[in-house]
Amino acid sequence: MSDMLSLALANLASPMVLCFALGALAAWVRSDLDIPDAIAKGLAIYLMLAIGVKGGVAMAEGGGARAAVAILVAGALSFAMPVLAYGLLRFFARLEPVDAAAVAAHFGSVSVVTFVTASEFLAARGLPAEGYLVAMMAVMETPAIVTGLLLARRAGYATQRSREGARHLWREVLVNGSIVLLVGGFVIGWMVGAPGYAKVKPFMGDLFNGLLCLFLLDMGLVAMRQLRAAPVLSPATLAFAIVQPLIGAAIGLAAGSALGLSTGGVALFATLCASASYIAVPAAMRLALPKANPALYVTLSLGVTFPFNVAFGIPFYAALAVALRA
Amino acid sequence: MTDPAAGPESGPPWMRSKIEIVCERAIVEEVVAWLRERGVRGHTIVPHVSGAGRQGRRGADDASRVFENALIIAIAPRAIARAVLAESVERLRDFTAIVYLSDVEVARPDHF
Repeated sequence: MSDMLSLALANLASPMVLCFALGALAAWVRSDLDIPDAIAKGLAIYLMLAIGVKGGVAMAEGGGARAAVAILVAGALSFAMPVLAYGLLRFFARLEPVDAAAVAAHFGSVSVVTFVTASEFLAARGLPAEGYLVAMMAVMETPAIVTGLLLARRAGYATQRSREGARHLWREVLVNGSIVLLVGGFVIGWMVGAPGYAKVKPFMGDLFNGLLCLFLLDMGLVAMRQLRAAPVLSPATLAFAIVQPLIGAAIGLAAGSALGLSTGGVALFATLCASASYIAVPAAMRLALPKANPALYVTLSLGVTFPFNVAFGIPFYAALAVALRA
Repeated sequence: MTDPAAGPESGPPWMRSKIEIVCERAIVEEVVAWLRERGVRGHTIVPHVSGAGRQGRRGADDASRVFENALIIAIAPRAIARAVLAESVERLRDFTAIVYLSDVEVARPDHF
């Protein structure tokens, strides 16, 4: 228990989480602090490419045989988890089917920033994860979207009407920028291995945490502004955004252990299963299920689940993984 | 569709209709494809426009950019513009969108 508490405190006192809190505070007091759009975008590109390369480099060190199975399991979980989330949203939060389907898709998919924050947290505590976790993350982005759309269709909601619209949707889903960067970076890292990485390490490794701080400062601003502008949500709906990550983490802990991942890997996979998308999936849902309320799904994933995971979830899942492995 | 450039309603030969569509960023590509399908020959996009209306404040800097708006401007013969306006009601029903027309005088009317 004291281990869990000390992990939680260490996480809350990390520069990344403090920067996130600073951003949230600035938005709360309506400060005019603003990270220019182009810089935030540049930071996101940097983080995704760097984390992809790092994962690929770790993969080049070995462990490829297990990766294929782990990646398949990750994809299958992303496909299956929205069904559970949909049930909770329909029967406990009493959401309309179309809203429940859209929200469920977000919670089957993943948040790259949560992943990055967790992997830095774990690495700093001597619990590095397997490199192929990056590939598992990339694979988890999309299947949940398909499940969400199937759930909505089952409930009688037509998805996407025009052919141009459908093309646009699938382009957005399958080759969106984050997938290209993560997978591309992963392949590059895998190809160049440690010797190649040494050439870019000052930029992609040493600067990483500092730039992550800046990015999380922006995310704090964005998340809190979203929360401020949010519609009034029922307590059951809000509770879902905390309960679902805990269920997801439990599934991730069990699946990660069964896959034989390292302690860091189990914790990171639990974090992935606990996280919710707030970039790729909202854009896809807006196109595919326009009747679903975007303020609802963006508020839950970005305004509630993301801060919860960054501040409390990550150390909690790490402590559970450590306890499980002890 | 009637010959858009002809007929008394077209007015003087340098008169055209300007179509302006303020819509959510997510559907810009789809709207542009639809305009082209209807015979609109070109367009201009002003990204990142913000404001407020029935949908509340739009243009907030959320990470997914689903609350971001863009402005699409296109010039077309009046008949085409009217068809676009009429069709837009059903087509953009579930999306954030403002569609309006105005009469404009253009240089080089053969471009539109």
